[in-house]
Amino acid sequence: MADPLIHSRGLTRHYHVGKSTVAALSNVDLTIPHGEFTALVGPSGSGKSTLLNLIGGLDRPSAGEVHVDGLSLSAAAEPQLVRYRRERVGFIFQSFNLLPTFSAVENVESPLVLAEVPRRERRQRAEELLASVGLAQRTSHRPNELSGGEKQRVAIARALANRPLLLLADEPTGNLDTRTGAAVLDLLCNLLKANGLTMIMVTHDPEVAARADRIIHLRDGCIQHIETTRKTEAAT
Amino acid sequence: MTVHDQVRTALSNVGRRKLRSALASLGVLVDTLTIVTIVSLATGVRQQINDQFASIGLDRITVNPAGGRRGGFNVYDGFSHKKPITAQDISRWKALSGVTKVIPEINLPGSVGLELRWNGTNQTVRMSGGDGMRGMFFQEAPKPLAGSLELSESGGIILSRGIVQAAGIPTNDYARVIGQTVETILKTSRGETQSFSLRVEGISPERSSDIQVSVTDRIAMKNWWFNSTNILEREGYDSAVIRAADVSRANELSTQLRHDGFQVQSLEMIMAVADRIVTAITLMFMLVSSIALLVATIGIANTMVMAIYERTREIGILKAMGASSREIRQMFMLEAGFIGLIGGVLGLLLGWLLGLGLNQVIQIYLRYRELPVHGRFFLITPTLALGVILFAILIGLVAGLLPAQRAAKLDPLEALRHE
Repeated sequence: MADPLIHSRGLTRHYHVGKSTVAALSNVDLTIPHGEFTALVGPSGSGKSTLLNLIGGLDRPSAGEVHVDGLSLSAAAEPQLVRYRRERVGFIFQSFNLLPTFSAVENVESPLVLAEVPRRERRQRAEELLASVGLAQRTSHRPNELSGGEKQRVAIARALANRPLLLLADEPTGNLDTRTGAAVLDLLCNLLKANGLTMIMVTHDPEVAARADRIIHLRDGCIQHIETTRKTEAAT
Repeated sequence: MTVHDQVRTALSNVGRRKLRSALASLGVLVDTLTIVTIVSLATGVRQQINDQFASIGLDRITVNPAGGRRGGFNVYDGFSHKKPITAQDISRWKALSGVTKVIPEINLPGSVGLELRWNGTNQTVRMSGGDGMRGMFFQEAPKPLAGSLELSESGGIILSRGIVQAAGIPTNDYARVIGQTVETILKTSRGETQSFSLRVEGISPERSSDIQVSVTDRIAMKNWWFNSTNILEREGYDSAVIRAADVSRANELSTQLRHDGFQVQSLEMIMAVADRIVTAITLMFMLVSSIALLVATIGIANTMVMAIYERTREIGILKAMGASSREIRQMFMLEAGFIGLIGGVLGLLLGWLLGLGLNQVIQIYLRYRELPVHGRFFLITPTLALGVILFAILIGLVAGLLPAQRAAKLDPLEALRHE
């Protein structure tokens, strides 16, 4: 097999709270191959989100290193990290984080605006993406005119806009009811397969985690164990 | 992010909070208005001073022969001029560009007694100069009561109204005086006299007892006085007034003629002083308006800080999507610049309208007071308009500098956690 997409060694992140130092993540060695759906599970404060943010280049490790697609995120200069976030990563958040004054289609377009994609082209791509998440009729709606499920679909479309290698989702179904959450998850899984994407998802929900190819259990900032579901093999 | 997209985003963000943006730009508006009003007034007043000085004779220069004034009234020690004004000089000056008129002058010595014998009366009169200084010092050019005030080459005389009245001629007979011959008698202190017969060509409105005689005739009178036949060739003209096309050309001419060795009198000094006064007053008001500037800057800075606080989460989202710190900074700087621009444009517009109105009021007042002053007192030049707009944008940018820097420095994770 080719080089793994994500590879970390001794990945550590400390936070300073007052005078004491809290280890949010310590000594995490991790390898995630291309095209895999990984779930990060564990109780609050186990370091799931910290790990996700480090892989997403939103945060920097205190020690150790993490490579994604050949780029060392711990050593990369700020402009490289900015480009990395812009070109290779799509974020999906629990609270959707849509830009409130932009319409659905403008939200999906926004990463393409940052990437300086010409206007007509980005509008077309945004509309296609909204259609692919089943929101072709809601393009001009503002976030406050959309339901929770619709908002998360817009967010998914936005995360896919710049054709990333890697989707990072932090509890994407956490703010949705079970049925809507399941629908959103189905959509995500289908899009993953269709686009050959790698996804890392933080979740509390064992049912959601069960959909992943691999489940990484974290506790107190360390990997407790890694569970391979082989669900994909069973399904096919 | 392309510049075009940045501008679009900034504009839409300014439009999001219309009232707040408007209030923020109000400070710049007031500031721009103050500056536009002060500077346009200063420009207008300076222009007025220029025009007025042109009308009082700053466009004229008086040239005197070098080497000092005539030493005595004896003809034999009178030729001390090192640099006389010759007839050739006069015609050379007439040919210079930017010269509208050259009026040579011949003065009779102060000891010459002048009498006018006419219509059975004998009046002591004064010789007044030619028309070189006419229309100076806020005077409108005088209008003749009869005939013309332009003397012919020789043989003519212009009488003032005072003389005509003293000769007992009623007002409605003034027209008949034109063409009559009067005797002008020169008297020395020893009692020698010489009479010159001159034809009345016009009556001037002055109440004094002044006569005007052409330069040619004055040369003849002076020749008699000094018992000479070629006083002009030997001594030149006593002075000459050169009228330039405008004040600045007059200044150039004075420099040039001084360089040629003539004594030149002009009122450019007065002009320089007036200019200094206007500049000082302008600076003083500008200083006052810098307080408005401070208020404007604080207003915009406050708005930007508020906007950034409100949009912290958005900044986090943008950063997660791959916006660089520079793009975030530029976005907010542009917003601040636009707020400045809006204030600047509105301030300029308002200042223009205010100037327009005040110009009208001033005109009405001047007409009421019957002052011979015309023109605009508030003058907005293209340079001022452009400068003030750029300045307003600059205020916005300066005010936005620190808040935008703060926005750019935000940690994306903390920004995303912000509620």
